[in-house]
Amino acid sequence: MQADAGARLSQWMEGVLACPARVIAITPLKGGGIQENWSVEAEVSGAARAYVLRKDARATIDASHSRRNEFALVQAAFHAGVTVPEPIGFCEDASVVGGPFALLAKVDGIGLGPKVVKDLKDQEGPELTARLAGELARIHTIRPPVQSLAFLGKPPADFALAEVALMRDWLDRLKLSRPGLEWALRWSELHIPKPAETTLIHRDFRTGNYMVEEGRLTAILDWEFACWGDPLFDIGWFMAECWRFSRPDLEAGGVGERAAFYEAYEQASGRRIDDAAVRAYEVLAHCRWAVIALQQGERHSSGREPLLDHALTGKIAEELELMALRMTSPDHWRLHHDGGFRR
Amino acid sequence: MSAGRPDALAMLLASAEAALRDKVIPASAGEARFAGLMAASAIGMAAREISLSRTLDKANADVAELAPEPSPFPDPLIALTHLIREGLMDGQEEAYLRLLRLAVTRTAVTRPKLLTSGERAMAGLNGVLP
Repeated sequence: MQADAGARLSQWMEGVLACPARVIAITPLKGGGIQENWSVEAEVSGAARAYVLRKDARATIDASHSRRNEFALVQAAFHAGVTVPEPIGFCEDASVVGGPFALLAKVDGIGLGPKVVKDLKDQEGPELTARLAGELARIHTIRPPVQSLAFLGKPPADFALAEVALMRDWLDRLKLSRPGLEWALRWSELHIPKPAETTLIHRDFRTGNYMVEEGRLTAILDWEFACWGDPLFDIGWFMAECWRFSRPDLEAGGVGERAAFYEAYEQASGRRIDDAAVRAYEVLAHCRWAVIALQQGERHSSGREPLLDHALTGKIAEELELMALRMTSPDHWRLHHDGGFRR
Repeated sequence: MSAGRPDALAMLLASAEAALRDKVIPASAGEARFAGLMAASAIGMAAREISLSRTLDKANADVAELAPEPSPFPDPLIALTHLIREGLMDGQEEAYLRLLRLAVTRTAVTRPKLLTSGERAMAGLNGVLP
């Protein structure tokens, strides 16, 4: 970041916040190669405040769209009462810090999934579980159309079928034949009921994508995959065994009981949860994560980004395929002679 | 290739993994420790893939055999993909068992701790997998 970025950022913040603002320090945070995250310390109306500035490493048009869209999603969630880092503003002007950026309030806590699960004290689990269920119910109050989310496009006619088709397409693009995953995708196609409604879904709502401080939720993060879809997908994704880390016995994200999550979600949303549909989405969740893992592995094996962590992520696909197969043995197929499929 | 060579290579890699886990990782911190853990994990997988190569080849061949012959596709796995997508393998017991056996064997390479004793037995891994 350029030396005089602080002064320009102060000026921009004064305009957005409509009060005196002075940036004291801008320091880099750990991040990937695509996105830069900076910690911003400032004095706003005489009080010390901390922010996170999110900016793409390379200011391409596509990249700035994605940052802006992510900011719009966080804003929509914030207005719906979801616990997210407070969105301060989005700046298109590349002259301020060298590229378009989003500014959000800094949130304290830990986010790493295995650590969240490991550090949680017994008495904290039930409260966090209920809180997460309530947050998800709030996300699912956002329904199309929403003008600021027009970039999400038209909701799919049948989200589950669209998701299965997308996974097949991704596998085809990878030029990988994975009959085990194909088996589980075919099962998903037949057994996930036609979605009853369409809402905003986070699509990556799981332990590891929210922050916790002393057992309490501080923010839901990682909104870049959100889309219009079936709210039950988010519940299935959250419950999926692959996101429970060292506590596979705690079916609600490794932090709580399935029944407690359902109860809190039903109370907050007024919906009845179709347990069979959620469990069917758990199969699809394993397929989706497996395909994403294979994509990561391909970044290594193609030589484009030969990083060891990409290669090891690719290897996770094996256990994910196994988990999906465990859930789709022949006695779990509702074949025609049993009275038909769910579809 | 003589019968001893793959075993010798697997043992070499297992020793390298042990050296990393016993000597290097405990003496490292932060990013170096994380890199050491990843390297040990990768070396362990390579060692197990060599040890299990025959079981893996058999499991792969059993799955490939599920594809019909003759087939319009050059690769039997592509043919099988089409059959599954078209619903021609729906709920079939024999197909499922072969797919499961392959997934179990692959997981024996990548994360053997995850396997149940029943799965180890059905994939013929008892006595092969440490």
